[in-house]
Amino acid sequence: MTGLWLASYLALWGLVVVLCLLLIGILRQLGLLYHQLAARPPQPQGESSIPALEEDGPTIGSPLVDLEVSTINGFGTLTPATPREGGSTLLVFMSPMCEACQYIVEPLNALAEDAARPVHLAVIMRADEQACRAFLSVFPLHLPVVCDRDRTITMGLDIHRTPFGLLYNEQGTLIRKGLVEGQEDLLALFGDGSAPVNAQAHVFPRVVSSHV
Amino acid sequence: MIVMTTEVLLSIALGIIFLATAVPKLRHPRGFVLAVLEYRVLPPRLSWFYGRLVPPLEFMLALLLFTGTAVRSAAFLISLLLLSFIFAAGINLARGRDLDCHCFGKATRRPLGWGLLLQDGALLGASMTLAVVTRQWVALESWSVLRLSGLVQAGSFGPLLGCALVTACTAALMGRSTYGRRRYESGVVRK
Repeated sequence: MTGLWLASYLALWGLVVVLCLLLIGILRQLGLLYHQLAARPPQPQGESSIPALEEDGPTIGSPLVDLEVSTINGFGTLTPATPREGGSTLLVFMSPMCEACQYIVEPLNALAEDAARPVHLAVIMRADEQACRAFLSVFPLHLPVVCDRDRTITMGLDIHRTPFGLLYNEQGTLIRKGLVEGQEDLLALFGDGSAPVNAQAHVFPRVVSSHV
Repeated sequence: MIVMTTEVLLSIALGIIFLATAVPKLRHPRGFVLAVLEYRVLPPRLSWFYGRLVPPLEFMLALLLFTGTAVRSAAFLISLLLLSFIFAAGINLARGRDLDCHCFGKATRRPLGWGLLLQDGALLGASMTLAVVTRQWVALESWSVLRLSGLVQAGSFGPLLGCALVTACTAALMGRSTYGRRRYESGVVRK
């Protein structure tokens, strides 16, 4: 057995090893899933540590948070509660190591640079300053970013999920909130009925869908 | 024969593991750079360099092991990589930080812990064994599929260059896949 035959023989054994490892991996995942499900005590509705989306964050109709904090990326001091003309206010809560927060950076930058759609944007990042700066060095945000070092802002607003958006109207009243994991979620948060159904499920109150 | 079987099995096993760790990192390279920065072991510039270097290096080392090319060098480099992982994880464990290991990029979540260090230690043992039992620093091993099939001569640098080329193309293609797809299309979001 020489040459090509030996090569194919070895390649087949390689394939057997690969398949065995894949099988072990799948069985391990199944085992872990079973173990985790068995270990988790049944939680009655409403007693979960993370509230339902509708309950997360401030209630709809709440006024803009009255705070005065400095941004860490050269945008000066942020005063969201100050009345502003011509545009709504979007506060996005993020944390550096959440993957979805990394995906929302480009849509937020584009929204901030879109002169046709004036929105007062700000990101509140739940992390220490070093982590915030590391995030901004890898994923630059061209809008005001506040570092919520001791989580006072995030926990004060009772926000448990990231990336979480709060949309306030011109009068500073909260009109919609929800997860903003991508461009479609931003569409839904802005009340666009053409947003995909799964994106509309991420925001509260739900958008009236234009889909049939 | 036993030595050769050991070489083949260790090469394939390490190759699979490093391929599985490289692909998620290549798909989201900036996420891995951020993870390296979050480990807070190297200064920022070195973290960037390390974060950019490791995913394609892991991919290329896996290819080298699969093809039986420069296996000794690949095993030696894998040992160095594993030592760096163990060092970084050990420092953060000593600091008491609650970090995700980021071993497989974002594909799986696993916090730093002693189990992880033991696992990396076992992999380090395997790669050092492979570095000891193999003979070729640059050329193809005697069991290399490329050599046995007669496609490539024993002393040829072709497979090494081929692996480097495949790695460069894969890194370039994967790096702009998922991140670019989610871009905001200007004018779509309405107030």
